[in-house]
Amino acid sequence: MTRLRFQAAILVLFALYSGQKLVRSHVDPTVDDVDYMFERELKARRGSIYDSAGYPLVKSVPIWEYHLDPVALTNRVVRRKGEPPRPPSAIIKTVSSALGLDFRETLAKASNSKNRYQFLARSSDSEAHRLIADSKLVAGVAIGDKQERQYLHGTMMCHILGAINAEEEASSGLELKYDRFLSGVPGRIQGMKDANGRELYDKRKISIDPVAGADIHLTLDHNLQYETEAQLKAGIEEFGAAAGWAIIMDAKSGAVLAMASYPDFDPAAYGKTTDAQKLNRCVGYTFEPGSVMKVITVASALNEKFVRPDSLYNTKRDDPNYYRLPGDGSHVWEPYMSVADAVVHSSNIVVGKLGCDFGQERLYNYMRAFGFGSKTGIELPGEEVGILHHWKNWDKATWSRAPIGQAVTVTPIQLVSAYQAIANDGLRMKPHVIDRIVGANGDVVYQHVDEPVGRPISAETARKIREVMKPVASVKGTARRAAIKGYSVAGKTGTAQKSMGRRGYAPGLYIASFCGIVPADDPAIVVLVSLDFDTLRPFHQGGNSSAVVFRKLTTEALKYLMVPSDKPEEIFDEDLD
Amino acid sequence: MKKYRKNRKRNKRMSVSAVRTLNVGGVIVMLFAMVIFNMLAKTNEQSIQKEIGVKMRTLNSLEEDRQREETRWEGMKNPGSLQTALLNHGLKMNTPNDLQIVRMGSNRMPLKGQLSVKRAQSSRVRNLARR
Repeated sequence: MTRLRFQAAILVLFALYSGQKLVRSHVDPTVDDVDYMFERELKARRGSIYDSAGYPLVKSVPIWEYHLDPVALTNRVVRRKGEPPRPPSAIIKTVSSALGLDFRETLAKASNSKNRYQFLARSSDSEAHRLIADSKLVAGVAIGDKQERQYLHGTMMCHILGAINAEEEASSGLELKYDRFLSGVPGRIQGMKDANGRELYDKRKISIDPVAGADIHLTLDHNLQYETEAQLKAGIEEFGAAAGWAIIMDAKSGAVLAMASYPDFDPAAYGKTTDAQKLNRCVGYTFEPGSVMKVITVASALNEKFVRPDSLYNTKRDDPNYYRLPGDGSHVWEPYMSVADAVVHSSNIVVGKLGCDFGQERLYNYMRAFGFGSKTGIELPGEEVGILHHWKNWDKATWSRAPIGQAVTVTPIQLVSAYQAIANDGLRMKPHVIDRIVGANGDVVYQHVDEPVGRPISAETARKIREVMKPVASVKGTARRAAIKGYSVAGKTGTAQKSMGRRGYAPGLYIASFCGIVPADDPAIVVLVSLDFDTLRPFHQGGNSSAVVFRKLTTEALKYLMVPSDKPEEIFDEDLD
Repeated sequence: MKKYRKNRKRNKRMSVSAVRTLNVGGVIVMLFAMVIFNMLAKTNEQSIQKEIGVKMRTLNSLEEDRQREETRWEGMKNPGSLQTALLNHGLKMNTPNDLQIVRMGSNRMPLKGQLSVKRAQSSRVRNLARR
């Protein structure tokens, strides 16, 4: 009896112990094995950036990072079955040839045994990785997995895309501004590993997959951007400018199709970039626009029916009714000039007088309505406001200078946006570079909807001012070099002196611009080209430097965008001859 | 009578203990079988686990290879690389002009007023005149 009870007790204890073990191993496998537990954060794949055609511009790619350990290289024996051990020099030769490194430099690193962790290279070459990871061929090379941000076009679009710094933090451009969308949400693994450090998949306690970052689709086109940057760089070289910028904007929607700023930088080497290279001049640089502003003054006066295109003005500078009128250089004019001709010949005197007569308050209000003195709201970081003082603070000189683009500063994007209003029958649209943001699961997180931001002038005035601007790009005007065969161009030149603040203007330093609307009657695009000269050059005027770049760039852009010619006879007749 | 009752009680007790011994044996066998089954299942699970590990690593590595290859290919297709590649073969790429483009309408006919169409028509007229 006692024996039976004893046996039963043992059995119960055994059953309880086994049952408890079974239950515990399934419910909480880590209770007894704290040393074998691990927790790891899983990095989310950063979102990509695409152009308007869906072509990738930036992508995060898994790569390998190789480091050399000289001690392990000499101590570990590497051999294949039946072969003698490989000497360190042979291993270095294999590694250097696989990674495309200099053999002697790598060998020198291998001989420096004081530093046990020497960077060799980063590579995405799978073949090289297979070779180096082969333990019977190579030893002493530590391999780490990383994600590398690859800018597929090198320096192209660098100011818009931005960059990631060495600490993998977003530093500029859209990478910075839209980091919260691009970065995604990291995942987490908590589980157990065996004695060799390998994960025991059945013992995973927590497994949260990372959520990849959203993809950004831009309005910019990579082919058009390539052409814009190529033409801008060529123009800067040809005319000896120090810097420059160019923007192509859709005339109807305000979408930026291309945006180039020079000097540029390599996003992959962001640490070595200077401040001058980092600056996106298209949004973050302000300058006195010069004569390109005359169009705004005349459009405002036409809209108020204050003048007509054929209204005549006295071309005399020494007029006692006006205070310190700007001059027209060595030009000798007829005693009277029409408002339209003042735009075509870019007369400072006539437009200065018109601005004074029109009134500071009205001119100021129109300038504000055209978007000057406030941010355009484009999705790029570092946008400047420019300077447009309230009309009550204008001194007498500003009265006659603001109408011709002095005493006010603007950003290139503000200027293009103002011209876009003229191109779009008076309706100014919000400039934008982002079309949509698509989440990792394919859901559209953000979709841009064209947004009108004001109507500074009527459709009728817009058509009138475009007519006034047409002869500028002809033999009569200041920019005959801007004329494009087969297309009418409504544009305006600007040769602005560079301001030195209170010390006046820098002698011989100019910013030469040309801003044009093409085709003039049914506008498709607005193009601005500006060249920044830091020394006096023979072709520093907008009409013979920027206008040339404008013509070359716009000709290619029109062909690429397949904009039908509005003056076919120019091409047709010539071709038949 | 009294003796009979005593014997019956003893006999009953004896039979109950025999049944209990039988039950305990069954439990022991069952537990042993469970332990063996658990061990076998564990071994099988470990081999599946290893297999899953290998397949997951292979899948990850293939996915990463695909991403790398795709990116490399996309990098080669950018306008700068294409232009360089063409120049190496003595070729230059240009965008076509209006004379080289024929825009088609939804009715699969060329749109009116196009330069390319006008030129084609004009050259046909000239050819006919020459004949």
